Amino acid sequence: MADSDVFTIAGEEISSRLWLGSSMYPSPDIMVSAFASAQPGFVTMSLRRQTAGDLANNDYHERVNQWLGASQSRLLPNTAGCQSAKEAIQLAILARELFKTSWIKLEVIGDEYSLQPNVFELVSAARELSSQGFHVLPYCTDDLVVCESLLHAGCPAIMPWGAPIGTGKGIINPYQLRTLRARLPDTTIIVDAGIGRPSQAMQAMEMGADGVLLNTAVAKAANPVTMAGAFAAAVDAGRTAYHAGFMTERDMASPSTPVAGMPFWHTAMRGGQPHE
Amino acid sequence: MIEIIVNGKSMAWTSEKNVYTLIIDTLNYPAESSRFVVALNGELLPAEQWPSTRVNNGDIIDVLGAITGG
Repeated sequence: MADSDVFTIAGEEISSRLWLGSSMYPSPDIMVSAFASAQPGFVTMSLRRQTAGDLANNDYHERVNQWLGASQSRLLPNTAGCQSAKEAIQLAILARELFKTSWIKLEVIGDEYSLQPNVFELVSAARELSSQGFHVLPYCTDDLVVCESLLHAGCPAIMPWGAPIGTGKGIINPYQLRTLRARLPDTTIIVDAGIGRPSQAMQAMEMGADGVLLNTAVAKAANPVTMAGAFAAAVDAGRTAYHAGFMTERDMASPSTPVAGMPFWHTAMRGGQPHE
Repeated sequence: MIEIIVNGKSMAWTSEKNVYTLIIDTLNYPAESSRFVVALNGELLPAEQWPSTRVNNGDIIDVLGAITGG
């Protein structure tokens, strides 16, 4: 992508349109190598109860911190697992203290089976956290009115799901993503969750998404480091293609090679039989 | 007797403690560490307030550290 394609959210420059989760990698070494391969704009983490022993053995946190210190990536804490606005607000405040950042990936789950967000609690939490100075990036459904409500609540971007978390199904409702892009042309849209393949990430970017956030597709690949690079290439290609402008799809074939000047034209068209 | 819940588990003792004493001396979390935060009854308790905050009967304390996440 051209150097002029600067990506900013809440007035801050984000180094990449591919964002990665830090969970489920086979080892801390592989996780960090995957980050190095993808150069993600954000790396997500969370927080949970830990004993003193847990903290002493938490190599992933240390390695993520080292990576962040040596790269342009930013840390994006999440409120994964919260089921109410109150819980999410409390966890976000704790995350800001722990990670020393005002960025928060706001998650409020409404259904344990599909991990679908509770959009009512989500908007409520987004409003409160925005008023407290957080940069709230909400994991949300692709409902237009919900996304508009989140923007009105102060979110500098929206993060609609492509498909339920961890399914790898890709963009299961392309119509809705197109609708969001068309109706919210100036809004930063990050497709979060459900991306399983680089082609799906590229599809999202071709459709005008500003970025994608994924975890499982890289962490659970047979070779996470190589897959991370593949996703980075796909996101770049999709972004570049979106800016290049697509041809118009048509139903009838149209020859790419000019027909004017074709020798033996009639003979070729009739299988060797002279044309009347 | 003071009974509290730390990270979902019950604890009890007889003498008075503040949060700093509980966290650092009793539970052996590393002092001067930025790798964990403390919530008292669901609200953030900044580290500078630990020494001056008495642990009261029935308190719920959570000690949170970073984990991987998506």
